[in-house]
Amino acid sequence: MNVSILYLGSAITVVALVIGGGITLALTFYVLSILVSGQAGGVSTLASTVAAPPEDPMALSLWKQEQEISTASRMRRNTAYRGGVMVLLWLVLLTVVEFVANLVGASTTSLFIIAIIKAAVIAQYFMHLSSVWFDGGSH
Amino acid sequence: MSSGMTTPAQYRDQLRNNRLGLWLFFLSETFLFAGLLTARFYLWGNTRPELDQFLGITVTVILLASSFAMNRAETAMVHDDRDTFLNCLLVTAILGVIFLIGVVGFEWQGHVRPTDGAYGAILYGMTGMHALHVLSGVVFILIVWNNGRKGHYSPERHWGVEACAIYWHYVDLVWVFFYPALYLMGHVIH
Repeated sequence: MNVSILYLGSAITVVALVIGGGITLALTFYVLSILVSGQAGGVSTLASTVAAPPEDPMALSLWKQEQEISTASRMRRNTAYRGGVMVLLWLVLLTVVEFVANLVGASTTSLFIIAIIKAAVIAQYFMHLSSVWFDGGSH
Repeated sequence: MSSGMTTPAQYRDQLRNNRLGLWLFFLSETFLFAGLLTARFYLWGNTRPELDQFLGITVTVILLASSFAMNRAETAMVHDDRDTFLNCLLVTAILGVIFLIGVVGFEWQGHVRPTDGAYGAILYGMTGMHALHVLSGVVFILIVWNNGRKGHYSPERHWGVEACAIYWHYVDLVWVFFYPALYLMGHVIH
């Protein structure tokens, strides 16, 4: 078999494995979070025991407020979880780009630029770098 | 960490100082890792030893996934989702251990030895120093997990979790530069 075809086939296989691995990891975490909390993605499985609404009008009004707060809190949490999945996918994608760029003979400078972009994504989204200056007083 | 002795205002000030201190620590760590990176380019130039490419990209993706799990643990604590918090911390620690096994158990058993001149010295120096930080990060995570299990953190007060998460992401960030420097940049020397 032609060596270049073998080389290309190997490269495609590695790229597919890495992308597939990243997507599989993201999906695994998503499913795990649904199983653990019972609420990720708006789907309730284990924690689907919502109490029946009270009949008293005052209590019903309070109950509705609590439900709204709970739903809003759940939505904020799910949005935050989804943000983490997106950052992971971007980082895996950039790693694949880095790997492929090396295969096609990209320069050291271009590989370094990709590394800086990845580092910036980690610093901003995972390390909350901006909070050191703009949001110093809260978590 | 979750002391009830301070007022919210005092805690905010304390948090601000803690964050500044942690980032100053990272600055000093950056000098260490940047020194190793500089030594790599000075001694290896535009060359590198032949390393297992599949292993390199695999441990890199594992470390990125561990950072994701740590981010999810921190997010879970912020939103008072304690089960997810504890589970994701454990997943992070396990992925960290898998990374260590990949580097120390497999890469260090390759054909490059520590005695192989500049190539061996730089490879073992960089991966060894990074692995030491991963190991200390895993210990840090397990301490935070144990404290979390005992209920020491709350959505309002969880500096220990935040510090642990940022430290772990920093270790990941360092590898973002080490991976291409060791595995991708330069021509292979057989």
